[in-house]
Amino acid sequence: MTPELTPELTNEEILKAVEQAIVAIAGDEILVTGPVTMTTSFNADLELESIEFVALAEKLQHRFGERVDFVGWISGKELDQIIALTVGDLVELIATCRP
Amino acid sequence: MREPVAIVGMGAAFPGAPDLASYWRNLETGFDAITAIPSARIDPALAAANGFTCTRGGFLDGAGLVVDPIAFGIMPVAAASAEPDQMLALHVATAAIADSGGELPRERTAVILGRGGYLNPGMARLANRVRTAPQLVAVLEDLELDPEMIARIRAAFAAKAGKELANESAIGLVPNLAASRIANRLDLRGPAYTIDAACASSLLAVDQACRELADHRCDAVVAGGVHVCHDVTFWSVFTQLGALSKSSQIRPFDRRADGIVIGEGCGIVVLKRLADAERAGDRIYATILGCGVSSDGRESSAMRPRADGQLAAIGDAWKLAQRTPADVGLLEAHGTATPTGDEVELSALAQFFGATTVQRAALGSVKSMIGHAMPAAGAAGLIKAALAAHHGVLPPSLHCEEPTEALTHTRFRVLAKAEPWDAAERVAGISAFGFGGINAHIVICNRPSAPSRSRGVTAHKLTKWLPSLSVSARSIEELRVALGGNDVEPGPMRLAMLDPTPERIVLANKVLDRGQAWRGKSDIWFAPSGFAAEGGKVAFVFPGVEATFTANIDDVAAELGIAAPEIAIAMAAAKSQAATPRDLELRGNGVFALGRMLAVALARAGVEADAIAGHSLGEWTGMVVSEMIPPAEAEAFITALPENALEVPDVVFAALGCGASGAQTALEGLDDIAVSHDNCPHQSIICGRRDRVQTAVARLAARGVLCQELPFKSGFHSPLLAEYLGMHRKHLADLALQRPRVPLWSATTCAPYPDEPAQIRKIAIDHLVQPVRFRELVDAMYADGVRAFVQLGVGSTGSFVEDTLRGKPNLTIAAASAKHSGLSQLARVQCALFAEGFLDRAQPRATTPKTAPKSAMTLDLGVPLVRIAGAVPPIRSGSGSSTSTSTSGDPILAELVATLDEAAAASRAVVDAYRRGKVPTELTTTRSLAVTSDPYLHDHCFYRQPPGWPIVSDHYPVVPMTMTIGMLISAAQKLCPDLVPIAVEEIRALRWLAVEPAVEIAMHAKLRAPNLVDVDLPGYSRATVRFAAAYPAAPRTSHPPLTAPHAAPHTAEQMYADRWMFHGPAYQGVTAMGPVGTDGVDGEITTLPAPGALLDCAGQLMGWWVMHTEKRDRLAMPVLIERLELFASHPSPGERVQCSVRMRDVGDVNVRADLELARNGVTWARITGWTDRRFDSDDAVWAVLMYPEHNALAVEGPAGFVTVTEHWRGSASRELMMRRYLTERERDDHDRVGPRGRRGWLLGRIAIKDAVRMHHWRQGERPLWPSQITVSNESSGRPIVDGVHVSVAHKDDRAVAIVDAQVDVGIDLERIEPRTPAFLAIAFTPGELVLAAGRDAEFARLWAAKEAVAKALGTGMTDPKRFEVRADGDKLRIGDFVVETQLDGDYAIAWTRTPQ
Repeated sequence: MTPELTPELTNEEILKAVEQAIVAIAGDEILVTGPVTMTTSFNADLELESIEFVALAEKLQHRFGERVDFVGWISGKELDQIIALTVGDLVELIATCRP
Repeated sequence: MREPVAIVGMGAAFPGAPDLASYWRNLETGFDAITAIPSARIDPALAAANGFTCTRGGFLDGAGLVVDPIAFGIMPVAAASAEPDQMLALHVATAAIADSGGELPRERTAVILGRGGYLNPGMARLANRVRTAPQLVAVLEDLELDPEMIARIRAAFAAKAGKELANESAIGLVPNLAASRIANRLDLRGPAYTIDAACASSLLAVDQACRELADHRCDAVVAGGVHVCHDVTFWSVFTQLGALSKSSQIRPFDRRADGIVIGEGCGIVVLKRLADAERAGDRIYATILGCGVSSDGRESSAMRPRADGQLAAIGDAWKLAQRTPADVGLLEAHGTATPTGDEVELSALAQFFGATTVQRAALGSVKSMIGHAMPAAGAAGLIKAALAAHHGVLPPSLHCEEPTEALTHTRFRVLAKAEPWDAAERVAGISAFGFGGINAHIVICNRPSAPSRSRGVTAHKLTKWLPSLSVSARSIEELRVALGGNDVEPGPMRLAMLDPTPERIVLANKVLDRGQAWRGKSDIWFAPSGFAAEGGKVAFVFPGVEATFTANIDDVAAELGIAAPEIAIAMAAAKSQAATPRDLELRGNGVFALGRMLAVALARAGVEADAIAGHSLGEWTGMVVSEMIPPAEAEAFITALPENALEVPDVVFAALGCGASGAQTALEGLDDIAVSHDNCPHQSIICGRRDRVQTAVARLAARGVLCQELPFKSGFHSPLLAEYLGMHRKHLADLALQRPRVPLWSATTCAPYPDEPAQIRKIAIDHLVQPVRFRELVDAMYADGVRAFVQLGVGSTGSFVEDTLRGKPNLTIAAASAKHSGLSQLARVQCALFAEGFLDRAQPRATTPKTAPKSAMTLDLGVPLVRIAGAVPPIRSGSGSSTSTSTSGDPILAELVATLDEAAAASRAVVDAYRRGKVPTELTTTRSLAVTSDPYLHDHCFYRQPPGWPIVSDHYPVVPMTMTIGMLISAAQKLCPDLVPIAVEEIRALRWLAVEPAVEIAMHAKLRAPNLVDVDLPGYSRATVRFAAAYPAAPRTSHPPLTAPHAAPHTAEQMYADRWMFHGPAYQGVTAMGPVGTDGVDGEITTLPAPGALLDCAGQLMGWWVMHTEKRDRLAMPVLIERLELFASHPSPGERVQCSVRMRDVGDVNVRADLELARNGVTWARITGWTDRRFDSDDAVWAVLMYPEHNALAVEGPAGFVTVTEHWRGSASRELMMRRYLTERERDDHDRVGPRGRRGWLLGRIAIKDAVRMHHWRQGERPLWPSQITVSNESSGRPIVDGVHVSVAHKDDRAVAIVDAQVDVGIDLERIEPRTPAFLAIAFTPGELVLAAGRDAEFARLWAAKEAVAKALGTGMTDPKRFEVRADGDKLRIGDFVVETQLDGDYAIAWTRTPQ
């Protein structure tokens, strides 16, 4: 399937898509405590394991295309930065990867 | 039979079941309705005076049975003075007729009821007035008491013995009216009469009915039996006959059977000729194929039945039925559980039905559940068998764990659980045999040529709004069949889903694989049995005003045709940040309107509440919806609502991320501030002057507690509002109030609102200025049986419920959502409630409305002892403050003494009256509890810790349940200061009462009757305390000797030394133990001064028996004591007390025993139904609990890492191990972990602690306790333990950990599962893909290896390709690391090898 081109997506729409990807990986039980927001932390709120990060990267590539190099982006960060990562950071990444 | 007869309608009221639907539910689930004798039924003094040893029976009390005399045109006064069995029979007959469709040929309908000639309550009350009163007077006259005094006593006695009968009311005591009143009130014109054939009466009535129908003298017959007689004379007869169970436990066909327990009730069937019923298209439960009746003749003695006579009745019935013995599927036996009776019955059954070893039919006796209902027993059995045949379910029969040998020689077996009854023709026999040798037997079958069975699939159309699927079945396998779109029999297992797409059905099948309740994830709900089946209730909870307010409800409003502009306005208002008073008012109106709209919508969806509650302002919505405020007044009430009047200048709220006790600590030293909302364990709200609130918030923030000031300026729920209340007080005073349609619970009292308007008003005012005790309210409602909480609105109320009930099974769901459409959210509520069995609860019929009309009454079934204390000045002798001395014949002295006595009596009366005026009827007592003020609690700590361990909370000091009993008694005593406590009933322990940190608890005592006090320690415990002027005479000890007694394997001293008990010296009162039997243990206790120590030691003996006897789940803790009776004041310290424990039930979940404590052979206390809950614990858990410093839960493999798996199923046992392993600070860490990770986190902590301990043990460092290993985390997440290097990983139900003394190590655990090519491309290098060769297990192995190295390096896994795995012989290598791996079932484990 050809990844959907995303020039016209707003940040809110990207957030929605990220939430869908997270739910697909971690199950919809994560929404019990509320919807995923820009300030949701991957570590503290979602408690994603690293293998789940990879699965998330896969979903995002599928949705937004190879341009979004999630793994490359993360590997450029220090551990404390990774721990502090929020969904908002990711949305920003995707938004800036637009052609 | 020459004319088959159809059962077309049925009605029932038996112990535990006020109607037919609940009767069937109880039968199917094996509900044991036998309870301790309610003291309102048999006064304990009467039971003691007559030496009754049986302490339990089946009672109608408490099942919620109400009758409405007005509906039958009977004045309540006349109904109250009539024999209760008449009103009961009328009520049940009406229900049975309604059940049959309601149309009977009245001119040709007969009424035939079985009823015994015993001393029933109405006649017993009359006897009190017309016989006992003159008898009493005669005795007093013989004593030459002052005639004036005698006159006063007579008057007082007459007043207390009840009203004189008005002339026409006396007819209510004529025995045959049980039948003829039905004919009279329902205008039935066939013959109406009662018959008495003792226990066979009901079946004789049915036999007679069949004859009436066969003769065509009648076209319909209302037939059955009724028995309401727990009179002391009746009990006395059965006690003297030796028929009553000495163990108070009825066990039909069990080796241990020792007699009956007495039951009561009424069962009625509506019968028609089968041909007529089929023509009329009636619903036919079952067809009566044959009846047989015989007498034993001179062969029998009164108590020794004969198999020959029974055989004759059985043979006749089956011959008429034209069925063979092999056709029988169910035999509902007489089954009285008297050893002789059961033996003779089994011998008759063996002779007639023969024996078989294949396809054995079910044998049961409903007496095992409801007791022996005597003349109504046959009807109870017939209705059970008819329902079983109709539904195709064989119900269980209770307490036959050890069947008698005689049973093996029959065709039958006794079922412990319900089973499907699959035969096309389901044939059942029902026996009832009466004293004196009267035998009856009836054969029935399900309706012949029945149409296809009722459908399980989509049998319940949930919603017309949205596609949904709901199925019910009797087993998981059948549910699967139903999910596949096929028909199955409906049953107790239910599954529902919204929008049944093929994907969701696949998921539902996975949910079924799991087999456990599933509540709402992916819009699927499944319950293996459902809360409704266990008597659970549904509550509607109305939210209050919150910071946000948004929901999708337009579609609901459109569907219902309700315009609610307030809601839209409120949502708009909620978007603005600043909440002006006007905004607040608008928002209040919106919350209110939404709650009411949802109540209408749910009613239309068939959802009914059993209880209503509200959070803050939501309680007002509850008042309107519950109709406590009559509908006509509702609008006026809302218009005058004072939200805007609740503003107090400069007073604000702050929401805190901690519980109310934590909030309270932050208020120390501050005035004008209070905790206004105790929402749940992790949230509370404070209210006060802004600067005070800011101070408190700063204090809490310093402790890391999250705080947020709310945008409302109001003093709602705080004393600061008190002076602004005038208007609202007036508003409430003017309001018309009535008893709510559904009980409305108050968050101020944590109890249902009272019925009295004046009391309601008081609570409504208190509600404004007192805190919202929502957490305690939820606990109290849960304790009352509420299992489903439906939130009628949006916001956090539901999450407060969930937080409060964490770990306890419950369903919490909102009826409105900001995420989903309004109608779909309502459909979710329907699905959820359907799965729990709430949607298709039997809807009571018009004649027995669920919300009883005002004229409805509960039947007064008891005949209390007439007591006149307070009405006549007491005549005291000897011990009183009387001046009485021996006047030995001196008339002048006697005169003087009499005068002085009179004066003393008069002044006592004055003092008494004065006191009565002063003594309140309701009182809240508070008490602080702490180990500093109650140091003996140091010896009642759950967890042993290393000697000198400084952190008290790690020991977990808790208040013994028995000490709580003492506190409850003291609180109750304040309302009855001149009386002594003689019994404590229904003592429940709901939760540990831990005392570190110190707690302050409040106990609410409320007078229910002059000598009866309900006491509640909300959230922890409650009980009812019964008082009397003096202790009753101590009964003889009644426990039978132990079975197979032997000496205890160790002494009491050793019991403590070897740690069987966690108790320290203050509670080590057991001083001798044994003998021990298979059914209990005897012992001696030396009374200790610590509160509750004596009874706690009795509990220790019981707990020891369980540990000693059982192999699994050996730890058991008290949760319920049905009844504690006291016959003297508490023994003093040092006094020796003999204690005997007799186990009554040893179940998988609970163990139950009766206990007696006696001094020098004289009973001091008797305990009925002491119930301990068992914690699931296997040998490994047990070893860690007993000797934690030497045992570990983890297992060490040869490879050098340890594995720990979850050893527990329930949350209680999980909590037990959590506290065993974690210290105070670690428990805080644990609470901070999110719900998704908590399970793994705990397993990981246990694995680390055990791995480190095992490492040290290997070096000979023993003992070492879990608390001595402190685990913390670096900011990177890597665990740190002093002195060693550790690594840990967890997945699902397991964790692994590894320890190294020298270098950093890493370990990882991954589940083997299929991965997509895209996933693999991201995760692995081309070389690794070659290495893995496409195998899932290899991918998991490689990933685990990368992760292990990332952990050892402490860098975390950033780019997985950077950790490239290479093969090195049979090892893997990443960079400089050698990684070892192992596949274990579905998991791959990898760990870095220590360089040599």
